[in-house]
Amino acid sequence: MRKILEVLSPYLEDAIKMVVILFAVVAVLIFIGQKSLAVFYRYPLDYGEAPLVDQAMRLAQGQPLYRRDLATPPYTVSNYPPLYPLVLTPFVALFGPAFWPGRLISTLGALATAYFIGRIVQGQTGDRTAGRVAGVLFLAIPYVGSWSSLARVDLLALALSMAGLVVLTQHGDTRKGLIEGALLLVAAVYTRQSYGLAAPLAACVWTWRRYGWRRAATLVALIGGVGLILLLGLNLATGGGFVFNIVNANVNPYRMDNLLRNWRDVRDTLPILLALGVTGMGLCVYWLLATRKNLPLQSAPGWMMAGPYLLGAALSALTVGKVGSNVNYLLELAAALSMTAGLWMAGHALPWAEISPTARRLIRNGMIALVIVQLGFMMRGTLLGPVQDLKVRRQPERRLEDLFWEVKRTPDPILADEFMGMLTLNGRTLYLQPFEMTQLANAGLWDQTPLLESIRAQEFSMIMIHHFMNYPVYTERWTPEMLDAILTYYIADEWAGESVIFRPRDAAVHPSRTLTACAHAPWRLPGSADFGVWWLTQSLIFMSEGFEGTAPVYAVADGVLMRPGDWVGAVAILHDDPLRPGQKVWTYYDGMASAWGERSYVAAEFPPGSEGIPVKQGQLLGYQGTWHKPGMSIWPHVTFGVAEPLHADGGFPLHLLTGQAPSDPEDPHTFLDPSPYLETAISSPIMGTPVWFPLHCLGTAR
Amino acid sequence: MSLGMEKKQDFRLVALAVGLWLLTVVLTFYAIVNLLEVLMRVYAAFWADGGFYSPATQAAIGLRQFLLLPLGFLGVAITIGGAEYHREHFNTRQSWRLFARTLGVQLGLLLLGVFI
Repeated sequence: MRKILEVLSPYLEDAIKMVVILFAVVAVLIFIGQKSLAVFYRYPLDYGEAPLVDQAMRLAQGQPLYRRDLATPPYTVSNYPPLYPLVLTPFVALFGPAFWPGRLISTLGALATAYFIGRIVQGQTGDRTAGRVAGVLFLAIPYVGSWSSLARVDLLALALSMAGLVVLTQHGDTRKGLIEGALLLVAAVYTRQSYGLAAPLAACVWTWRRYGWRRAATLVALIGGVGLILLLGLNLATGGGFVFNIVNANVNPYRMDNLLRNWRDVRDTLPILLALGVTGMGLCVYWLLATRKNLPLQSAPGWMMAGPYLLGAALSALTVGKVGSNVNYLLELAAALSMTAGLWMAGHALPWAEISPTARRLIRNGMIALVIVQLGFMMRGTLLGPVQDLKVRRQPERRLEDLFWEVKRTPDPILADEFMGMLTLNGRTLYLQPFEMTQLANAGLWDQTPLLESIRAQEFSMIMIHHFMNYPVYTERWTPEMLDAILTYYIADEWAGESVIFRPRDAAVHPSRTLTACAHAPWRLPGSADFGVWWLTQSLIFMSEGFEGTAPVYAVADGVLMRPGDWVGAVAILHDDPLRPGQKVWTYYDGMASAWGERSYVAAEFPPGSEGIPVKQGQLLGYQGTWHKPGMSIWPHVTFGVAEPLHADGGFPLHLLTGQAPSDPEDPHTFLDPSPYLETAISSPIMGTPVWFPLHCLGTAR
Repeated sequence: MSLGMEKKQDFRLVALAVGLWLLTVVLTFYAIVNLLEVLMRVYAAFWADGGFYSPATQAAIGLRQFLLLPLGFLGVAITIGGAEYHREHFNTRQSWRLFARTLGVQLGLLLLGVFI
């Protein structure tokens, strides 16, 4: 056995290397697959894409980006310094206001960052495999995969900052290298201002430890000097607008729950990278303390770079708690963790001379094995997370083509949030960036009165408000006053791309608003359906205008109501069946609760545990809510179902709700088609298929 | 005595080489099956759009059927070619390294199936 181990052990690293190469190849293929879905996709993939295209359009038209006075439209702010819009401008001028150039820049930025990480790791350790794997690790991180698919500033900034670090590590001993490195770091800061911390900190510490404090001081002076001159110049040229836009307009409220949610996500997604990073930081601290005892810190140059960079990146990542922030705040952390993992893989600065060859192999192979496991987790995370999000974004039933043409034939001005990009795609500049302006209004930095007056005067021919599943993001993007004015002076007319399309109330023709019942129908309607109805799991979902807890739900006919103790937002009523004389039929009303079921909108006279309570046709049962099922909320609605009673005791067929088979084969297997009872234009052929359509009566409305 | 030791050592190495070759043969089949599963899952993650009869699912099944034959040939090549190579380069660095790399790829493919 010993003999066999002696023969095979030198080749263990070959085998493990093959595994890591295989995983790296698959990770890169997944990255490429994401880009194939995203880069040339025509429509917006993120709220933040359109404002950047809008800025490039303004630059191409010679309009100013950083306005100080926001008392008149357009109510837009440019949150970032100008480098990314400047890079985008020639593309907009050449190819029109599309999203692909911005996404291509992000993709190339991610690839360049991965390359530079590899260069830094290889340059500091001499280990080519560790360098390459560190680069691939960066690309495999789900945050990188998802964000590099978007036309956003972050990956360009990250690539520039990494390029700066590469230049400084390789040519920092020359004046030219120092200047080039400093300029690249400043370019990163002028792409995204938050890049002024981690990379410059790492560059200065590294230069200090490597070449002494004089050279480090020169670097600080170069970065600070050039950065400050540009800041003063731009601020003077824009009359103070530059600082107002990139500083004041970015000070959003901070929410600790945002930070904790993101921290939990990082911990669950990158456990091994995080552990390696924290251990690396510990090592740096130890070495810093050890230096005082004259131990040579110079023997660990890679850690002199990675340690401060990780510290700066971690501090930057703390700002992810800001309202409206996203995983882009974690990209520097992703780069730093990839770098530290690469250094660990190379066994950088471990006292190899004091370690036996067997232990050496064990440590190195163990590190590679850890990286393999982390790669596996990240690939799985990417396929289950960002890739699925991307697919949802691209779903054809979102009717984005319809939305595009709707915007095209609607005259200006139009207000939009998530799909502001439909405006830029049509070559129109933005009138309002709702999230940014809402934050400014909340901070008391912008008076929204002129906009509210325009809304009340119904000056906008169309307003699109996006509704995300599970999260009422519109409350962050629009002030309560804006929402109130929109609901009062506009009418929700359509639902496309998961956005509610509002049109001026005075101009709208909307038959379903006052519809209470269809002519000749035995039953009245259970509620309003201003947004239409939706077939889902053989129930009819009536979607109403307004917010949860405001649209009433009524009993469709006389009957006897019951509400079991565990029904948060539902009731059921047993009626005489008008279509089958002598028999009974149940109606079921669900969705009368808040998104997570913490608040019920069922009328107080029907508490949980109610049974045998007589109700009259048209009696108020409660109000429409956003509850749909655990973990999923949808627009305010009531889910309406019709079911035959259980054969044994006439009870409600609860198994229809759980999806289980009935205990008695004679019992109902599905909900009934409600259209004969309501006389609505819903017929069996589409039952069971999730379809949204406007509510129409077969005959005439009552 | 010395000759006897040498023979014994050779026998152990021969047994090791044959054992490893057999392992690669067995793992080749498992690895191919696993690779096809992984490809299906990745395809589904990116492009699946619903039920069994959806165009994407049918395309994935088609891809799987299409890949089966070339991968089968590859399996045969690894089995026969591997045997030839290891017989000719018995107990050399190249032979042991090829074993390591072959097993690395095969185990990697099996491990990939755990995550994807």
